[in-house]
Amino acid sequence: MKKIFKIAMATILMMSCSKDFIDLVPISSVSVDILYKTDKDFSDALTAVYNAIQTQYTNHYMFGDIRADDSWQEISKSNSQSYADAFTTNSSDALMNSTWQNYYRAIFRINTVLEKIKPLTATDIPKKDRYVAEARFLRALSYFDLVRIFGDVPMVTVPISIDESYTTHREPVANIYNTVIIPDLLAAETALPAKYTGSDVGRPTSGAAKSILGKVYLTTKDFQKAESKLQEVVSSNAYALLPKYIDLFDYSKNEHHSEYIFDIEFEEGIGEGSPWANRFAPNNTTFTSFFKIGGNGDEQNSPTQILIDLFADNDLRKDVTVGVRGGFIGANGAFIKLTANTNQTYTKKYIVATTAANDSRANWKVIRYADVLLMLAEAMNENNKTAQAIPFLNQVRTRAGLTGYAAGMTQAALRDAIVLERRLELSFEGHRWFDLIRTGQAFNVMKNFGMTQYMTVWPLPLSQVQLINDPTIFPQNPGYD
Amino acid sequence: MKKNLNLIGIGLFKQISEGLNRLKLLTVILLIGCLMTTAIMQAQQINLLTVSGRVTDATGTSLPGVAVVVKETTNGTITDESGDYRLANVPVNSFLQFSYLGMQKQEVAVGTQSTINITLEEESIGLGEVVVVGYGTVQKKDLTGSVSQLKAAELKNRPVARLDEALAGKLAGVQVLTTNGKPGSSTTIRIRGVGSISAGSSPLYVVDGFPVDDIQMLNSNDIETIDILKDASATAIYGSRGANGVIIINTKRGKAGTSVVSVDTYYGSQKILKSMDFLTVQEQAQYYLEGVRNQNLDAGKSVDGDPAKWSSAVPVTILDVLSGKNTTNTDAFDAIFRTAPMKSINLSAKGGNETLKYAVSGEYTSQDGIVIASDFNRYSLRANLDAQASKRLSFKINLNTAYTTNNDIIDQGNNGGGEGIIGSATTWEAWYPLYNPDGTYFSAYGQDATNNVWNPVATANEITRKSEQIRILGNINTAYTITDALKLNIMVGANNANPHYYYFIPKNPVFNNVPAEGSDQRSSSLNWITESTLNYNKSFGHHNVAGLIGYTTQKQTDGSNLVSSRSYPNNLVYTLNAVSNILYQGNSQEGEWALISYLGRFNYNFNNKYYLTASIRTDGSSRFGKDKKYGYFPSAAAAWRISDEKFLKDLSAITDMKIRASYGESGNNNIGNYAHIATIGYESYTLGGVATGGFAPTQFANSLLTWEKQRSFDVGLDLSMLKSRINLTADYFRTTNHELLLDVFVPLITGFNTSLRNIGEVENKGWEFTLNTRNMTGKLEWSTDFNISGFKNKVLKLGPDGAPIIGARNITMIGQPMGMFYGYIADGVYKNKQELEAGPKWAAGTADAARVGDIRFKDISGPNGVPDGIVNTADRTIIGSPYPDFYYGMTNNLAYKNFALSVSLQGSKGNEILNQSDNQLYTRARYKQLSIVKDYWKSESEPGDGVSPRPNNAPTGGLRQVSSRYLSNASYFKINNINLSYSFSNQISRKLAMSSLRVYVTASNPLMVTDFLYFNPEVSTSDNSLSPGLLNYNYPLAKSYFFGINASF
Repeated sequence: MKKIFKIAMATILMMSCSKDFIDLVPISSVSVDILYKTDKDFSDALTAVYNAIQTQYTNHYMFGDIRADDSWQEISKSNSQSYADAFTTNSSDALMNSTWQNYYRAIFRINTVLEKIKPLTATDIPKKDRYVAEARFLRALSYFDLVRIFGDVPMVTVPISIDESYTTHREPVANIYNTVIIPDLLAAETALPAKYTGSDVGRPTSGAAKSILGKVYLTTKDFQKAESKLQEVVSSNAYALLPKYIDLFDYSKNEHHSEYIFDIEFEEGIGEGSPWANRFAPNNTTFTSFFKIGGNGDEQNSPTQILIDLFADNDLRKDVTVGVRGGFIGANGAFIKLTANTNQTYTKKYIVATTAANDSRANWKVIRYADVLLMLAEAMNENNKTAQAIPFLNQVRTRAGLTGYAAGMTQAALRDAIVLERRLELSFEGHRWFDLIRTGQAFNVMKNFGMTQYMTVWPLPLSQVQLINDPTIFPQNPGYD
Repeated sequence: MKKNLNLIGIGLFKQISEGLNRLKLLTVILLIGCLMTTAIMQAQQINLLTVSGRVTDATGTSLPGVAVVVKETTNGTITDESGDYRLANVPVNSFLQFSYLGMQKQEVAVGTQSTINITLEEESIGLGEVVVVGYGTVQKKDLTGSVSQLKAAELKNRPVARLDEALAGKLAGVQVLTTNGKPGSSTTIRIRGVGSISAGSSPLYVVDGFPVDDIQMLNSNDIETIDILKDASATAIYGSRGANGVIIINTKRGKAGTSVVSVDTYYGSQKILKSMDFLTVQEQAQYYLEGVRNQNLDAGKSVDGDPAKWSSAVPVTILDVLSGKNTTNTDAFDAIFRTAPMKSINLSAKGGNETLKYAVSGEYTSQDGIVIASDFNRYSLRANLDAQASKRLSFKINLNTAYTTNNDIIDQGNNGGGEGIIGSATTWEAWYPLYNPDGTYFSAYGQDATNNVWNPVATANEITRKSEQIRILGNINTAYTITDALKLNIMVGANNANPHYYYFIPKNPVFNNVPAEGSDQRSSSLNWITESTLNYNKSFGHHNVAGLIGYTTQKQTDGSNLVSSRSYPNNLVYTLNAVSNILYQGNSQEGEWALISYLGRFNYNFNNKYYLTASIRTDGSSRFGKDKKYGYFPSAAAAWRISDEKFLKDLSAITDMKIRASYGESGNNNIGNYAHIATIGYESYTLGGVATGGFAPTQFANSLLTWEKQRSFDVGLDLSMLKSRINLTADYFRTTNHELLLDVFVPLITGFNTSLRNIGEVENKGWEFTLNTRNMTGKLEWSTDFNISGFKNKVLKLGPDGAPIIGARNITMIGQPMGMFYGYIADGVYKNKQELEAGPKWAAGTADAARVGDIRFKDISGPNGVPDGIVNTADRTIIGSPYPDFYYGMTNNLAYKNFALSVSLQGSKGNEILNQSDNQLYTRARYKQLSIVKDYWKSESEPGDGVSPRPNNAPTGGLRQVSSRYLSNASYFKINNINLSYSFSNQISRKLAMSSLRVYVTASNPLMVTDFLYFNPEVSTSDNSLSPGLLNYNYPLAKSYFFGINASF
């Protein structure tokens, strides 16, 4: 009996626990404090910045294309893209919230990188300068998009606490350009390399920073600086137009070609695919099986008749940009008609065979050389160098199989010709709406499509307005109350 | 990692060295106890007898299972199947005690008699019963808290695959919602309302002393009692896990005496309880056509001439239906619903002697779902052993292992494509067949006249979603009687679960997929517990004292992995070796939590008249911030047996009457394992054509994060009248839950969406009544159990600034219950131009503007807080409640000779369900419509029923907004169960070599009375407290008929 009693006692004592029994640390994650110490840590932290921006850019067409006159939501539904198209987007639209979230998530990650790297030396972090430059490039890009979409937004340049987030007011757009976007890009263009190799290809280069900066200057109507910055890009001879326009959208080829400047990168089969092959395809199995698109089409982002009519018959870009209404040209060249309710148009720029739904390798072209050439032409024209500008425009135009414009155009005629060329060249690449805003033409062009004057900016997410709940700090954009 | 792989024992030994100090007090108590034992143990030299006899009830029926014990000893036995007993070593001049559940305990002086036959009198119901409370038991008459009990006898009338289903409608204050009819799916149990916003509102289960999270593995034949702890006086002893109530389940144990082998089996057939009504194919086609016409008219387009040539054209398919050219009339429900069998066989053996008792069982239960391709199977084994190693030392060993398999289907949802079979079938247009003429599946995708739904039959038959799980739950309880008053219990146990889930979608034209896809997911969790308690129980004259102290630790380690591929070469092999390492996803994760607790309880009563109970528990949890690791959960209760007071003693009508009051605190620790730590998440990007991994912070650190706390107050009355013919228990409660964990939205410019904080307070108050009556006790016995309960839920505090949480369809705001339905109030249709002009106006001047024939919404408010004649977001309001005013249940038991009839019913009144799929189901004209829209608005002269708007293929007037139009009254009354059984007389069963034989027929859910439009009025798509009561094409309920046999040998 005593033995048993002793065993029982021992058992009880055994069960008493040390204090650290309940001090458990995560197994499948770590505390933030452990990280941001090594060169690799910062490289990894930047990867997460790209990830946030990549997420956002899957929807970039809703801002750049569907909103404007060259694209529309032909099959109207109750979703963000239909509202964007019809100018009925309201502040509770999920797109507004996700856009705000994605950009500020990226900015938070960037600011964390910049803050954590600041006290460390180049001995600790050999690639410190490049990481800082990369981070600042991405921050400039995020804010550039934010101000063009929402207007005045909170200017956050360091990680902030929850309390601070309630008192951070909307900063005027001009201040954001002058304090963040332009300084960040100037810093980035000096510190970023001209070119990457191997598994770094896809990171922003010095040329990318200059090109974006050129666009920023053009947007802020600083045409002198725009011209010189874009001229730097052209004079660097680092870039050239691809001989064939169609190759830009042939995803079996390397997307980092001579015309590539900066893309948001996607790759199929590794969980990094882009969704547009599905999103922009007609919702029809005959169609998706012919083009070997895995999953279904979602019939978004169709070319408008207005755009289609702009193309000259011999414009090599037409067939690349626009599919045949209600069907497609089959293998033997014959027209294959889809069913009655898929009598729609669609863009072919993102159609590519995919194994699985929403998993295409197509990148999003943020800026490419043709854009730089057209912007340079525009800046020169605005700087009264009309004659010198025409050849840059013609480089783009002749590549498309068209004859170049003759010398002797007026400034106004060239201005129109550049606008037209940008539409033909860059449609469905997220530019048209921002061009309309930049040139002040948005309301004139879009009023017949439901636009009201105040809609040059989009509504701020209702969730944020309600959360901060202080119109002196975070007022809604006019018209969206 | 290595740590996790250690065996439990090794894990325990590791801690020995560090813990010597902690239990010094306990050691002292044990030593004192040991000394006392020695003093008391005095050998006595007495004459001994062997006594035998038979025990019967008042009608002369023999009573098996009666405990016969020599008073003040542990020497005892139990009567056998014929009510006979035989007990040796009975001292001359001692007393024998006879006790049996439901009978009055009797004490007989032995003298020198060797034969004692005895008749037991029925006892007033309930008072002699033993109720299981946390870490012990208490006689029901001595309860100071609120506890409900359900016994084995009440379970055997209802064949269920899952034990929790059998609780439905049985107990006051316990809402058992069969939210999902899918075989194997759990019910949603809410005890006394809903007290948490985001940390879960499900109760804690304790099986044979072991806290577990799921009871899917339990065989209901094994269950002896289910006790539900409702007030804090009862739950506080479970501390940080007690706030949602505790369900204590104890399984059957062997009894000394003859061994009994039993076979329990049933077979039944199930079919859908309630379906939905749709427009006929002709009506639907006409509706479609008119919808397209209205769409054109709204757009200012002509509707002259051939509808196939209108600007928005009517699909040829529709015109063919209307012209009679297409006579297809598919009923997709017919194709996916079926009459499905359900069967179970259970073999058990119980018996033993004074030193070793056993109860072992093996079970196979198989339930096919009423939706094709869904089923649930369970194979389970149990062995419960009780060993009396010595006079003072005993062991209880429980071992339960179960293997469950489940052909799963996606049981809800459908948004234009997807695997929701019920949703696909609901929206499948009757004019499309399910099969092509060549026998292949017909694909509705991209067809002209339909929504893009997946073929429901193809989805069910071709896609594999299979889950299987092995669970092993075992514990050993060592009890050592230090003195008669002092007992030591040490329990150790482990619970291991290993679910495996795989998914395979073959390449098939109907799915429009290029290669086949599949995934394989395995997880494993190991939970172990140690528990030591010391129980003291002693009477000093009229002073009865009981005490408990205890110490327990529990730890769980979870791991899971997932591998998937989209690159299968063909449909032949579903395992992932077939994909030649071309994977799509690969992931594995681990997590763990630990809990360390001290507990104590003190019970005192004076002469069974005045009672006091107090308890406390301290929990230390790994889940909380370093400043808040420990929590304290006290409780106190008092009771007063008024019936023993002089002024009531003479009132013969009152058999027993007790009032009680309790107050206590408990908690809820259901948050993620590491929510207080600023952890990182892994993100990737592609550079140079390869994937690159990275990380980013995913949450703020919060060292102040702590458990939700509940303060609960309860007053109750237990009343027994007319010699216990009428028994009433009534309770009123008020609980407030504080420091509720809430993922508070924070401005996104911080980089985060939410931050988990302890902000929020919710109150539940309500009442519950249980009434048991014995209406007739003669040859025909008739008893009735009735319960009715209601609660009011109210949010008291919310978030940092009290702002409401507005979801897509629900709102949680201060002063209202959680998750009320939120939207516009539909106020009929604009029948004519005058009504339209009278307003209020919807979206005037836009394409969505309301037109004649559209829904009119109520103008509730405006920018200045007053109605402004315009309907916009300011007019959204609370449109309905997912909570019932009250819910009730009743069981009638009748017995006549060998027949017994049991009828149970339940109901709920005042709650509503919001159909979240309705903004498709009956809005757009091209979606299949319910028949309730039949009398829709056609013209000003034919305005229809005044509530059904005009058909429109591009709905206007905000039709698709969430509104009261999509609410359905979910009040119902239903007969849960009718069971008619016949027990063969002893002569007949003996002839069949059986000791007893009972056969029965059961009808489950044979009848439901409700105005509800859809399948299941208890449906709730989400378990989330913020969005209750939403319907989204969920799995329907079944009604079923069974035949069953209980035989013992």
